[in-house]
Amino acid sequence: MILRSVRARAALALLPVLAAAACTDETPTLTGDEYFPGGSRPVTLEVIVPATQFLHQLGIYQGYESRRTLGQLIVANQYQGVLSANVLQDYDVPDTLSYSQGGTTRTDPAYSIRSARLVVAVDSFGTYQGVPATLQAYRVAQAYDSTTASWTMAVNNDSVHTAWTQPGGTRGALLGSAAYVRATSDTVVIPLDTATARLFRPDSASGLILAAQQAGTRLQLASAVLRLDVKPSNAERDTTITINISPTGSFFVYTPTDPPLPAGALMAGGVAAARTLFSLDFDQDLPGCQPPTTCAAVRLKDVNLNRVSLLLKPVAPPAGFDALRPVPLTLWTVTEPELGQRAPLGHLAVDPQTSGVASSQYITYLPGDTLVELPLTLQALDAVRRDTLKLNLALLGETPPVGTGTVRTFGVARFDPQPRLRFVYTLHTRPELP
Amino acid sequence: MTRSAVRAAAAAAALLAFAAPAGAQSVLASRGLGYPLEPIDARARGLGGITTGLPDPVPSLINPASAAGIPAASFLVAFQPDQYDATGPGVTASGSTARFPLIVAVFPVTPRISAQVGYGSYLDQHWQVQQTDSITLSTGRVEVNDRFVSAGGVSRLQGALGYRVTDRLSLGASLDVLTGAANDSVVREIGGLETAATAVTYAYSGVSGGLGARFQPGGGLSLSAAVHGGGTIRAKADSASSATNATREYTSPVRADVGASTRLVGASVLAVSGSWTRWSQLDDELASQGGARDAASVTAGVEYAGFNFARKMVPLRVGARYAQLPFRWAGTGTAFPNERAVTAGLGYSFGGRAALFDASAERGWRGGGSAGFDEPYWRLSFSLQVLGR
Repeated sequence: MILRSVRARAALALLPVLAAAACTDETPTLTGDEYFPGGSRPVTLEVIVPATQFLHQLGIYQGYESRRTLGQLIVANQYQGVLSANVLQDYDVPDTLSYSQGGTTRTDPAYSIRSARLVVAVDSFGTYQGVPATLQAYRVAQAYDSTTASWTMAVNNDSVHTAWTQPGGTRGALLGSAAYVRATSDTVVIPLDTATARLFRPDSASGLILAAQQAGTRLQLASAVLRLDVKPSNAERDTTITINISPTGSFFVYTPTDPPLPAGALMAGGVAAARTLFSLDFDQDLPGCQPPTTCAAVRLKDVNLNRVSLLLKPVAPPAGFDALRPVPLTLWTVTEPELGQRAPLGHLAVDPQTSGVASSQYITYLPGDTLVELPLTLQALDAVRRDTLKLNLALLGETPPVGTGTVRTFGVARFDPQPRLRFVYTLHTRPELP
Repeated sequence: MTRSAVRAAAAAAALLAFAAPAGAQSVLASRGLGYPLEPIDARARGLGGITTGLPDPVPSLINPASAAGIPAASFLVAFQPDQYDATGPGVTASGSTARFPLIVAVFPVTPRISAQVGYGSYLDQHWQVQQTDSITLSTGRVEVNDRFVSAGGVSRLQGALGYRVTDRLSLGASLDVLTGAANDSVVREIGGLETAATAVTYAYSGVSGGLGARFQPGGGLSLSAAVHGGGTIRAKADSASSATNATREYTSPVRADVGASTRLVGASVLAVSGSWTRWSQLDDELASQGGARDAASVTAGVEYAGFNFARKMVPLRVGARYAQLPFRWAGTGTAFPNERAVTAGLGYSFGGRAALFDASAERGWRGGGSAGFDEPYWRLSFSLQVLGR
């Protein structure tokens, strides 16, 4: 066909434009049950199946992290009859005071300390409130190695193994004490003798122990500083300066070393970053109708999954290691579960949780909750799509990503060894022809 | 086949991609086998919807004899936007759509024989229904929103031959291949949970035939008649599932069209046509939808060719149509709906009549009375015919 006319060709070129205009369709939308073709109305069912039907536990492991990466300090005295913990700190009171006055920076090696106190911030949510607590500060009476010290050992490196003469840190003189009264303040101020404060010098190999006086206490400390009121000797006028000195080293030792691993239970989180490995078998038959109606079962892969979640029932954790703060729970895929404790983690399996514009992939277990639901619908849908209906998973108690910098608690979360699996699913429809 | 014919065929093939129905033209798309669509161009629309009977040779999927005697390869495409508002007990729906109801190419094989291939709309099945409800889960009542969406319909791919037996008589025959598909999807949205979606595509197939004739005894009179039908419309689901009706066959109804035109005083032409489709053949098959009835239509229009604009003739057209629709809106308690429309249109030629552009506007009403719904609508139609001169 030869279009000799430019206008004719232009008119033909308009056709794609008209075609584009055809994309602005509005399909007539009816409302009401009566307009649904036969067999097109969806049916949604829910079933909760016991662990015996789908879950196989592969093991509980811990030791992935330690007190050094916890980011918290714990003080306890026979908490729940089991747990004791002390904080050890080093301070470095400077030989020379440096200060500014009248726009001039001055140094003073002969300054005097007028008053001293240890200011301790207590994390009230991580502190057991059932008994009154008094914090005590002691001099450390034995040299130690902060990187290897434990409840029983002052030094425990490759070449030196020296036990504390007093477990939990050999105590010297009591430097001071103060009660923690939550109703008043989350800050505990322990007065110190100024002469004692002078001893916290780099050349004086000194440190202090923070301990709890009353049995049954467990406190979580957010921070501690040494606060001094000092008077320079070379000031132009009578001057007092308040300085805060952060510890050069701060850690805690505790006993028992790690929470015991109860057989069969599911455990996650805690100071030693416990995790539970298990496998889920999604190759399930599901009811094809709502009980008590009886009908043929349907295969899980033949339905639309609306929600798949693991229902965990919290049980009492190992004594002394209960979670006082909320525990962030996550599920990770595990690709080589046969490696046991060394099995590498894959990707997060918990459905993203959105709150406003924020999104996270962990579920917060609040102490006192009677049920924890871990949704893994997207993971289940992916498993069905890939036809890999057996999933190996790890339950962890720390915020992703795993490793340094994650949020976890000193206490662990422990759950009944028989969790349940919740399915909400919609049967496939087959709209009938008229 | 000449080079120009090959190019015309290529252009036709390229535009077939746009020929599939894009949206519904009526809420009646949800009833029976869908809303019947006429594969006619804007000129015919401007004359009320004339299906056959025009005096000059024109491409047509309705009368295969109509194209006999066309002087050069011709390609015709029609474009049709619609807007409608439907109201009735339990239904308030409105929408707009645009489609290509007709794409056809004609190739004169010899001075007496013309071949035609075309693609046209037949049955529209674009519609959806939704309903909000609630279900009880172990966590309590949750809201669900169900939606059924039907997208698609039946089209026809036609090959035809027209034979000019004498200067007065032309005959034609066509082979219609019914094609198309409807994708039926069901979606359930549950508050806070993953959405469930299921879909099945029913592919339509079938073969039917058609015969046509055009007789021009002289004096400006033209008489035409055509009949189509036979065979079945087969719907087959795309997957072998447990569905009990994965395949279903419907009788392809017989349709007869007659039309006539004559020259009036001056440059005016009066055209009338009527059609009758034996949809009642499907009455039992569609009993669950309220059955089906035979549907007749009558159309009349006048074309006035004495008006000029920019030194070119601009034909002006007016027309009217009354048509019975084959499927009920609701159950057997309601009457079968009818459609009434008045139309107006015009034409314009380019490049020494190498390209003809036609446009029309139609105001119509469907339903009414005891049909259970009212659906006034506007329908525009544009078509472009390019001649390979």
